Amino acid sequence: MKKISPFSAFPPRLKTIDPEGLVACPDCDLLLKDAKEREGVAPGRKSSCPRCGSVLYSPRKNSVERTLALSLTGLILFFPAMLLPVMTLDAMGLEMATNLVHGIFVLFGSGFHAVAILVLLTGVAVPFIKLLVLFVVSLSIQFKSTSTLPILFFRLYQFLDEWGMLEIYMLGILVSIVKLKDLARLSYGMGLFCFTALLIITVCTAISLDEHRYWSLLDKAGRNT
Amino acid sequence: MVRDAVTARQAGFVLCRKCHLLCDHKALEINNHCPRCGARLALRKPESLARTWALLTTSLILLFPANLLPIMTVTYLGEKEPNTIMQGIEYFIESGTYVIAFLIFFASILVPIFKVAGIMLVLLSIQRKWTGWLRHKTLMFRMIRFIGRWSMLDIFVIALMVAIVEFGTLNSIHAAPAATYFAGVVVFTMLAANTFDTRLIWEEADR
Repeated sequence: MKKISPFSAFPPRLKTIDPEGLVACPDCDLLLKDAKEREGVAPGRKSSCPRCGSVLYSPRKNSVERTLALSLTGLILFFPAMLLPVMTLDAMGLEMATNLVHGIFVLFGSGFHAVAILVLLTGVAVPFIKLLVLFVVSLSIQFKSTSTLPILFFRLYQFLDEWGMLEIYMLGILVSIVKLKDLARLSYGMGLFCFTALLIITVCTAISLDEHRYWSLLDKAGRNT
Repeated sequence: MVRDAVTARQAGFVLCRKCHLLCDHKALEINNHCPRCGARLALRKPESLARTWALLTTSLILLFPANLLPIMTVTYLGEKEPNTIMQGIEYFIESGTYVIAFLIFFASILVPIFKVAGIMLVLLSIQRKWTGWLRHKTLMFRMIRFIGRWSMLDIFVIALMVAIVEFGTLNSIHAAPAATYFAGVVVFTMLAANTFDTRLIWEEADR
């Protein structure tokens, strides 16, 4: 790689920026020249930093349309998944049904406020906000809105991303089932099926989302009018 | 390995951490914000090492009560039995569900320890200016970020167990003090991973 002199080749351009053909690795700060070719990698494949291996681009096919459809599906599934009974425990004639939010109230009521709030945020609130925000952003890109609100929303999405933990909640349900099935008779409710579907949809949403493309579309939507 | 590497910083650019827009470093002097997404621009995450150390030390301290105190109290036929994380794992080994035992051991014991030790190693290597294994250290850090969230498993299991097993005073499951400490470990290690800037690993070698 040839040395690029700091300013002769690229006079300072403010506001429009994104210097043509250049890209920097977010993990090791390496400056790479062939941004256009890297960006043009086939959908489903990745372009990684040659030095540290961080993924620079991973384009997705029809990212906006798919994400829009998937996030809407997720939003529809969300309330049944959280509120319908997940499982019913039958021990000594006593039947106990529970949904996914009930435990939060029990924890809160027994004085574990911090734990209850953490479960509420990571297991319920953040996954919901993520779906909602992604739906709004995709919709506004689809309809070429020029509002700056989607930009803030998408930043919120990126900020919340790792704090949504539905897949871990699912694993928690599986572990609880194994733990409880020796104790008493268990039957599974509609909530479990809705939650499983919600999880699959959420994972698909995350896969279909092409963050790089979203940012450049948001940029165009806000500027070219 | 890329020879004669030029970093964005050396070439006078600053990368927006949020939307990955490559900005002219003069944007730093003008209003400090990314022209595309409005996020605050910085050449490196502010006070990265100090903040990461602080959060990491907090998690290290919390690890002790999280593992030594009971995390769950199981009342069976009126008899209370407090369980630590390790005792919960023993229960699964005794009942023969080795996969679940391993899963919980991995998520609740191995991951937090690996996380704290791993980030500490990376921090020390930066401060001691060890410039070897750069790619491996970055890879390890990326893995730490990826698996760190899975420690929440035990917290979710507790939330579900307390909800479903509450047959009055005779048979019930309650959360115990370690639950709060353990939740703290998960949150603080995640925050520590967030405040750390992986570009610092490469900085000494790039000089």
